[in-house]
Amino acid sequence: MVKEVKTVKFEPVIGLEIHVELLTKTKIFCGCSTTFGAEPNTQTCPVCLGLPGARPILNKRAVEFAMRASLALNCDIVDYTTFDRKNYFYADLPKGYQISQYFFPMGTNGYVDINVNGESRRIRIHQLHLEEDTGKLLHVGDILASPYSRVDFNRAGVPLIEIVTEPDVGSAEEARLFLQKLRTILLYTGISDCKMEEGSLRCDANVSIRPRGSDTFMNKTELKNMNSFRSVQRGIEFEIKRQTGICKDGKEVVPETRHWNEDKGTTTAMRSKFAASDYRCFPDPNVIPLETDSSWIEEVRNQLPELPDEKQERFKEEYQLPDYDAEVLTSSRELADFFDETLKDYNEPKTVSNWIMSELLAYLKAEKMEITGCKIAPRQLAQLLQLIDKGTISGKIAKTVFEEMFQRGEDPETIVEEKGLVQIADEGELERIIEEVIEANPGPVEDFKGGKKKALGFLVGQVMKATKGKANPQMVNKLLGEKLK
Amino acid sequence: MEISSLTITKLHGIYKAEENALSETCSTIYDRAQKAQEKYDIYITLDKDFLAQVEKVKGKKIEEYPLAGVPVSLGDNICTDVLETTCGSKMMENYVSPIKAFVVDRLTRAGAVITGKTNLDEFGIGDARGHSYFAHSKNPRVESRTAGCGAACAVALGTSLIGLSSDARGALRQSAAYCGVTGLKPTYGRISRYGLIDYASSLDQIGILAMNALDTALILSLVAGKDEGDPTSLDKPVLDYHKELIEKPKGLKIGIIKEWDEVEGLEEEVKKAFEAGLEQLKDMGIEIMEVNAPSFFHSPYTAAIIGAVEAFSNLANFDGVRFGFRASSNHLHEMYINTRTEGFGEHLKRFLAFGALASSEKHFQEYFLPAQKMRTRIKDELEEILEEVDMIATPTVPFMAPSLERVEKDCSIAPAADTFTSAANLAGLPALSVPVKAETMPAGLQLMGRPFQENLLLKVSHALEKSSMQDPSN
Repeated sequence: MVKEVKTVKFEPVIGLEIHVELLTKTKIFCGCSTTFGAEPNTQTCPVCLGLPGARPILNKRAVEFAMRASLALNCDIVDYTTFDRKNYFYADLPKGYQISQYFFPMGTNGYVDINVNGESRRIRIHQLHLEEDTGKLLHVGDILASPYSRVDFNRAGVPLIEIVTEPDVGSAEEARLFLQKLRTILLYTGISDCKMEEGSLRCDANVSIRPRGSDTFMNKTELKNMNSFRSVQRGIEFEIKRQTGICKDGKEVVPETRHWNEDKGTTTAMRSKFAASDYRCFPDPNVIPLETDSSWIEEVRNQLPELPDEKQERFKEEYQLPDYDAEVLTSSRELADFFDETLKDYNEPKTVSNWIMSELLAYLKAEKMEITGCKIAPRQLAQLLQLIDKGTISGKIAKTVFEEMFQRGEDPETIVEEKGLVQIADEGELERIIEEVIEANPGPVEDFKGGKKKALGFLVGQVMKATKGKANPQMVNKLLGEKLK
Repeated sequence: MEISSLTITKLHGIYKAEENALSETCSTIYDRAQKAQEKYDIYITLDKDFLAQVEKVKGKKIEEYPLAGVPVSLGDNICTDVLETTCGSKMMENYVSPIKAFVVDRLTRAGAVITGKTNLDEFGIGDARGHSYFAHSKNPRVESRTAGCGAACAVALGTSLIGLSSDARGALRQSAAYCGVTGLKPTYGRISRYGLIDYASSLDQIGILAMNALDTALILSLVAGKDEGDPTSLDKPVLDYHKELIEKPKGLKIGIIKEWDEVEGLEEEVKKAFEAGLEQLKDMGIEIMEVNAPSFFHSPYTAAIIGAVEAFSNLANFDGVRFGFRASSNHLHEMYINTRTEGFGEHLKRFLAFGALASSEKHFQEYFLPAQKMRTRIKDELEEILEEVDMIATPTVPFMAPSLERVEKDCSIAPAADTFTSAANLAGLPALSVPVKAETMPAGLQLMGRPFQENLLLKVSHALEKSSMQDPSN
């Protein structure tokens, strides 16, 4: 029996639950600030502290953000919703219940398409709902050995959306790709800053395995504490291996919550909360039900920007860009906007794309900067490319100018002028320099005349050196060739 | 001074006539409150700085401060940011809220002076037993019986002209009947609940206790209306209810629920008093007709289930973490258990445990779900009847104020006391208890009307007062 099991091939079944904090200025049911990183318990009031007698006032902006996210993820939008109480006791939960859209989630039946090794895969979204965040427990020392804990309620009541996928994710890599794509889409919509390191994007994974080709579900574990894209992939990879090992030994996976330990690279079973699994959900009688009529939904839909997939298609069709370029350029809304803006002044899509991908992104990466912090304006990049076309500078010099622009944010003309980088395209002047080079290098000249074609390259190099790279390379080639005939 | 025949209007007449009348009257009333407190246990907190409040409103113009120098008491589940708000629970002993309730703000801005915080069933849960952790309020007529909530007693004994209190299944109206005062539970959403400590949020409504319909009307105009601080408060026109009382009720139809007199535990004296009240209504030219409302009699248990479930959730914030009582313990789980075991009273714990059970996955289908369905039926049924008649009349409570011993030991009091009152909470309708003459103890006649037609209820109540006793407006 055990031997048979050992020969079975397993495949993973993965579903993700993603919590995203919304970028509203105030909390979901009160006027407290949502700014991250303040002193503990300085952004609280009777409502978010759950003090008796306080009343929750729904933040309409949070509802709109949830709606915007639902639309961006291709969900159907609910037309009537309640805000429901999920009752359980925990020290980070001030009211003893969390208000969430339990019965009527904002969005259902959505999807996200991801690109896995050049192939498109669709991950379905089961639902997206709006809810409030909890406070944060600050443990003294290790969570298990901590003698006491403190609670910070600054986060309590910050609006969250929870996105639940169908178990469509087929591998740890797909999980990471999905999460990255999801982040890109949500960043486009502007509803969240999606910072995993600050917890404004959090991902839990439900992982199980089953014999390949089977359509049954086996015991799953819920994986928590994965705080980066990399750890999501690593955590799930580890968990798949662990479960496969258990199944190959003919044993059963224990359904439980497991904690990813980044340093050790392993998952461990977490102490289970004593919170009951029976949440006794019912609509909060203090928050009135909300109707989302179609005109409101359309208004929110009209506010949606062009999303990554649409933009990518447009870049390919309108500008004939290769798939790869289109994907890279649309990886953030700001980068795509930069590209679009540059084209307004310099309508050579592929050239602009090359400069952005090979120069701009390389510098940003080296400096660990985002496009938003870039000192070069799209207009300036266009000007630089125009200078090349006009023959004012060579492509090579342009790269030097670009570096200056990246550091200082000056216009390319200013830099070219200041550094005297204007290309020498005056035939008389070039001839004079070429004659000097021929005179100073009789050896290579002889070599060339004797049939060594390579020697020409050396002589061109000498001309460029003498002009500090400013000579027009095509002209140098031509003139030198003529002189040496 | 005979306070029982006093109205706010008359009081202001006295204040205008004599320079020191405001201070003297207020201080007389406060003395009376202190004395009555010793005997009847009305208040949980009497404001030691009451006279300082009086000093501040002295000389204020009545035109600008329509409640200048009017003594008002508040149920102890209505938050003030000055006095303690204990909810009658050990859990909240010495707790001072950072919140000032909407009604408190409205009243004090109008010049009202707050005598103190009145006793109530723990967290308002317990159906006018009058038992809290701190006090057992005694009936102003017979001390061995309960007063229900302290607010009704405070008004009956003239220790405040007005009492504000909450009503989730009828506690306010039942107490009014027990003590012989007028008690109005307005339409759900008529008065903001901002600053009222929740018991059952979908049933709770702040109501008004007074000696007469005139004062009730005056106060209602001042505290009713939309409040952005309470999303369940409704934006409906607020009438000058006081002015509405000038005209006599005309052409009204009142429905009597079929089989009202077959209710178990209905006391003969209550029955007679109610029938006498009906005769008075007929004498006024009001048409009385029988209406059929079979679901109505399911309301006590329906309200108990919904109330218990909401209370279980509403009171989950009493965990010892952030405020209130905290029991000693070794870890978090134990802290919850010890805090809630030691902090809550027996009646309340039983009720909360029932709420947990009724909403649990296992019993949801047996309790909470059918209760919600029954609630809709009761509401639909009453709305249909109220298309035929202008209001429905019932006795307020089937019995006279029960003995102190009974309220402590007899668990069946709750559903029985709620027989006639809880339907108005389930359907969100306005309901008012007006005192009617009985032989030994006060009794109440309840009028239940259409949403936002408090004016009609008050009009009939005012007419009944006039015909049954000395007209207070004379």
